[in-house]
Amino acid sequence: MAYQGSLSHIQALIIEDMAVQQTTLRGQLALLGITRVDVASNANDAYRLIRANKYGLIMCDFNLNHRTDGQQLFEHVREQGLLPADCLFFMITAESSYASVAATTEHHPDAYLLKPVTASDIEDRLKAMLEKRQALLPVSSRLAKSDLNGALQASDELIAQRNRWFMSALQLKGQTLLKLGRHEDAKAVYEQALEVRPDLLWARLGVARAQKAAGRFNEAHRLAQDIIDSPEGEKMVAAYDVIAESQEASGDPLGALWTLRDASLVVPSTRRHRMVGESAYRNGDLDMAKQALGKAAKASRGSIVAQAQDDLLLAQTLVDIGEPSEALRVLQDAKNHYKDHPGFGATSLSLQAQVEMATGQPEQAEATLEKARASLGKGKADFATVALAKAELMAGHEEAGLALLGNAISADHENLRVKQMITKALQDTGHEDKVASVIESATASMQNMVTDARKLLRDSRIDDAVGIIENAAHEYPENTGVLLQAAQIQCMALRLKKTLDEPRIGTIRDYLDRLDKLLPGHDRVTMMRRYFRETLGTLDASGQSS
Amino acid sequence: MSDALALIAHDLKNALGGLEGELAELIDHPTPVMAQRAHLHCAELRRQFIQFLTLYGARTDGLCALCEDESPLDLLQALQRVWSVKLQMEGSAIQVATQPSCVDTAPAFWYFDHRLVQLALDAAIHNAVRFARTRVEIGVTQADGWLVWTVHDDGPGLDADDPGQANATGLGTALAEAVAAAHAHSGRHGCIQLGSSPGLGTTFTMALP
Repeated sequence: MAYQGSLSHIQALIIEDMAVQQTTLRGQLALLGITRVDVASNANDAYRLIRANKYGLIMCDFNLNHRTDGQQLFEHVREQGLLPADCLFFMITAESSYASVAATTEHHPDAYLLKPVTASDIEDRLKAMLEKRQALLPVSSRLAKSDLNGALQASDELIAQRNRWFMSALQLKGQTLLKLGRHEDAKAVYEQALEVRPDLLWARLGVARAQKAAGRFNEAHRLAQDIIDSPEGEKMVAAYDVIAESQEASGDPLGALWTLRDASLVVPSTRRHRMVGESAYRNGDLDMAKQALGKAAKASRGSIVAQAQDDLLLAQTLVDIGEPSEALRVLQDAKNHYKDHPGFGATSLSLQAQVEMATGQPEQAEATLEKARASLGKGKADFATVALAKAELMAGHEEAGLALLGNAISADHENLRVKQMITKALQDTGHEDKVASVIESATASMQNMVTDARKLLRDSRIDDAVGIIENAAHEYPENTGVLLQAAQIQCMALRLKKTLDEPRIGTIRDYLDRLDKLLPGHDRVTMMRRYFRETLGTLDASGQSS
Repeated sequence: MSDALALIAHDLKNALGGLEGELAELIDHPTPVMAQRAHLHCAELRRQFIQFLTLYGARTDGLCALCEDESPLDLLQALQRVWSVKLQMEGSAIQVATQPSCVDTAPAFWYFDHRLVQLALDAAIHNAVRFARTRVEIGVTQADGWLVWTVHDDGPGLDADDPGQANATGLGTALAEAVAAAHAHSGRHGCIQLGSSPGLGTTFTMALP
């Protein structure tokens, strides 16, 4: 039964660059009783309006005649969490572009409307989607509150009804199970969906993701490759991502680079070029990095999807390639756009110092370095720190440069991407011989701390073990390896002491929240959350039985 | 296929000529009734152009069906609403009704391309309305792993002369055929069928895997 209520309460946004079309759509919405309508004629205005208002319906033309197309805008606002669960997003496309747009993404808007759009098209889809939203609300509202177990239960109830929303409920259940770290169960749910329809891309992708989460990277790779090799899935970039992530996790960053590059050919978006550029730089393919970052920076200049990091990394690439004056031009050009961007200034100064060294102006470079040092705090595992370290090394300040690189390692000693960048910085500045010592000594000292804590735990010196790892997590608040270990050791302490110690539980939650920010969506964090939930479950059960 | 498309384009051009004549007459004798008729013909022509363009876009690789889980009953009821309003506006006495048994026999969901199936059924209903005496009945049911759509009219049957020959292009049937063929699942492809018995009318059937 389609939605029967009134539509007049809906506040709508039309995103369309043609004035005539704006008027037509506005008139069609008015026919449906929707009169509270805002209009944006480009992606930037739309972004501003979406942030400031709470729309129930967004109607967006795919072709905005601007650098950002409708799909990029949709993905951007979605990733930024700007689309509330009760907002419907309709994409308006031309017949000719519909198939190619819809095939490249698993994140579909709520509906695609093909031109010419009629009022009854809008009404039909609007009512159908409102009905769907209503039906799935028990699940989606719990997911929005991160109540994963509640969402799981609600999806089971929906599945049991075997109604119109059966497949959607299966899809939500699979996602929830993956988030819960229950990849075996998730796989079973996706396989159940595939029994209904063996060619369902979201279900095939779900199985591949479950395999990746289980650490079966070869199997995940093979399944995702099957999707890409099939006619209906050849443009599914999410499948490329599963492959790239599997390759990186199994120690093949170069393979991941080529996979990302293939994906950027399928969907040449700013985001895709950025991913290729970043990976290419780390892997030392400077020509590819220059090309991809140049595209990302140029295509997004002044648009909502622009990021300062594109220009900064492009400048670093140009310095490394031996085109320092070109690097300086990029930095100066970017300066106008990122004046107020936190972090741009400091890194830009480090790069400027590198340029000055490379162009034989050591005195200038010293002055610039002074300013760069002043604006960077304690070294972190990030590009800004490595860029400053590189400038120090180029200026002959070996000790300062190596110390910064050591800090970068300690800040996140299991981060392979940072290690790749540091290795490159040392090689570029003639310090190949120090790669092993810098990386290994810093890694080893972190590793020792962790090993000590685990040994103390084995010796039943629980409080001593917790003390060490708590200090480490305090000292290196963004070290993902330390935070994961700290969460685990604290969980083990909970289990050993058999009490629901509230402050300790709060500490673990804090570690996990930090990890979520540092490694969003990462399988290891998901598994640690699962371990934490199981720990609480065990204690709860024993508490009730005693 | 390209020959058929050329013939269809030719027919569309003739229909456009008819509309041009109506508009020319409107200049000399403007009346609301005349304007409304021209508007209806214009909307009808646009509908046919959409069908034509859909077919035209499919001439090299065939139509591409992007199937989602949809409610067959919802689509049927939406078509019925649109056609009832349209026939009423045209002053036609023909009724478009949904088979009552559908509510029980239609599956809760099925995988099909909503837009393409809507286009095909719309074309089939358009045909049926031309032949029907009083009534067109549309239905959907599930049989042996197929989703079976039916459009039945109570007209004189297939061998009869087409009362609206001048407006017929063959476009609808070609489109429905292409839409059905575009729906494939586990090695099976959709198909259409036209059957009739004298006096009992004609039934258009489209089965999707």
